Amino acid sequence: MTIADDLDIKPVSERVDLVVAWSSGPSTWATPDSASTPGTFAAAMLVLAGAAASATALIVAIALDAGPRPFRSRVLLVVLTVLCAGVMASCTLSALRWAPGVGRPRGIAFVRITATVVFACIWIATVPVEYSPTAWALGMFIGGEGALIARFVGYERPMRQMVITYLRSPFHLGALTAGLVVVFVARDPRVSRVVITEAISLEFIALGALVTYAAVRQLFRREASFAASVRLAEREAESLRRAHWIHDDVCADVREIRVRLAARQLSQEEVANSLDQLDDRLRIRQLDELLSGGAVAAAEILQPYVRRAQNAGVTLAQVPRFEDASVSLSGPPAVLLRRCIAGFVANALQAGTQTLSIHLARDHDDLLLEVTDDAGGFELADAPDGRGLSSLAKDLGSGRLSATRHDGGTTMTARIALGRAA
Amino acid sequence: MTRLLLLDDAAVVNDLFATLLRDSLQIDVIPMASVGELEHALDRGDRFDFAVVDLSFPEERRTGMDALFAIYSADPSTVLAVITQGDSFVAQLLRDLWELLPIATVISKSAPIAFQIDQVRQLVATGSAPIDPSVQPLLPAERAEWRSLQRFSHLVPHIGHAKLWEALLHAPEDVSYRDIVAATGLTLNTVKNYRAQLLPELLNHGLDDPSLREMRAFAGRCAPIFSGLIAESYRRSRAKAAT
Repeated sequence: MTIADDLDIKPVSERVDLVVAWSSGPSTWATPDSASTPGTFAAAMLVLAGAAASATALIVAIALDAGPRPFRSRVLLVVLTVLCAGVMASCTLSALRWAPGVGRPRGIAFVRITATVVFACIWIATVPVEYSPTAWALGMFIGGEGALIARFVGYERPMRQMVITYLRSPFHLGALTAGLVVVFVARDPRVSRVVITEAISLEFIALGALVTYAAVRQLFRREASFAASVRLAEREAESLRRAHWIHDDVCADVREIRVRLAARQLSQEEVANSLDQLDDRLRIRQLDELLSGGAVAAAEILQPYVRRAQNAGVTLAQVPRFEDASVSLSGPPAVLLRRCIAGFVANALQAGTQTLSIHLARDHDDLLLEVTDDAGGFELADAPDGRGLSSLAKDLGSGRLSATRHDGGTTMTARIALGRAA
Repeated sequence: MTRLLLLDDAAVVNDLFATLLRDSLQIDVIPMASVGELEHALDRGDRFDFAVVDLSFPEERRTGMDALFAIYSADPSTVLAVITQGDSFVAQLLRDLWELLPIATVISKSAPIAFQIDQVRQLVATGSAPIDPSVQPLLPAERAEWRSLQRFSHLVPHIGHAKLWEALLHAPEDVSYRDIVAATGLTLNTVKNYRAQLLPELLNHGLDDPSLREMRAFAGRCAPIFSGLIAESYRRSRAKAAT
């Protein structure tokens, strides 16, 4: 039972629903994640190739037409052909975000259907019988778009069902029947020629569409299968790493605390400190996993170090605003931010600060981190070479790390370039 | 005596923390370990002056949103607070709660115990407390006017939108248009149109041209709010059909 069953809703057949969906084009249904996969890109290239090939075939047919058509008419037909092919292909370009999507679905459907009908009419009027099989290229366009849209909306139809549906469809049977009737009634060789061209073209369009649809669906299945196997391999490797770390580090630390407790070597305060240190290491490890997984908000990078200061009894006088800390980072900028905050907080704690202020701000293409303590003055030049701050200064770049003394404390400033390549 | 609800599925730690709070603050602290237990209590007529609620209840497949919304619906005068690890897993849910409900403070479970007790002390004494510094950067300083509980009704203006959200609430994680069509009986284009109509209002909730999957995740986070609005929409539709 569907949600609509208890309200008066007329059901629409799935076939009609899919045809209406197809008419509004892939850009209507594509979403940023579904449109950005390699499989979608390959399918879209097939669609564009089909549109280009069918337009080329038609233009060649117009140019080589031996009939008495004036030159101006031929130019007009060529221009119409290019326009129609462009309109037909534009939805695929929009789906790939290579062209802006314009108009509402209903308007897009109207324009697409009009362009397709005009294209078909030019084809029937121009293409000779012996040239009709080149219509398979148009089939490639239709089949590729159909497969793209089916993927975006989540419909799966077996090939056998598609073939039977097409053969039995009113469109196919009606077109063939109408053609036969016209041939028998008209008994005119020219009319017969047009009808035979239309019939052969239709069958080759269908053949091209079904073959392309099947090929693209197979491509999507293999892409999904490959992606799933890669994800599985990554998950297994990550689980193994995590298991090793839990076994070697976490369990070892917990055991040490238990053994020392049993040997009465730890006071309550020392146990609390040991647990705080374990908590800190777990959070750093959690941050490692976040950073290796992709983009992370700056707030999440700063969080373990804010906690570290809090646990050390330091008062956090200021922390970054949400608007500044919600910037998403990955790669070198994320790693540099982490190194900066880790180093600044560690140095401030070591120097005995009672208060910390952490400020984060976006400054054009840079992220500015400022950490102010009240632990006395500090000179950057005093930092030993090759370690800690000295190495950080080198990695940030010249002039991007500074220490400013003020009454009773120091402000460490780091300027991190956001556009750094991985 | 002041009644403070402490709701956290880590029952042992929760009971211990409740004891610490009772001893420190001399107030009546009622620990509970599940959203179900809370709902029974609210149905019995229990009410609280303060509620400190965790965000994650994985065994019940519920969240702090379910609990806090139930408390707020039962008695809007209850002062609400969140207690959380505050990590990335719950960051978006925390932000949603902060913007949609009158959350007075956020306590970090990882802060020193004395700091946490002090936050609760301030909360009980004044009705609010500074947010824990490690969690503060996750929350905007000012709550957006355009993102409120009252404005949520703009996301369910019509029975068709109610059907869409209801289908999303029950949809699988990799939801497709086909799943929505199968659940609602609507056509593909109708579902698409309903989604398109919601896009301007979804932008107020930080969702820029969201996929169905993102809409499903949003619906899941705000499930108790949507459930009420969907039920109301169906009720209005049936009442209209009856007349």
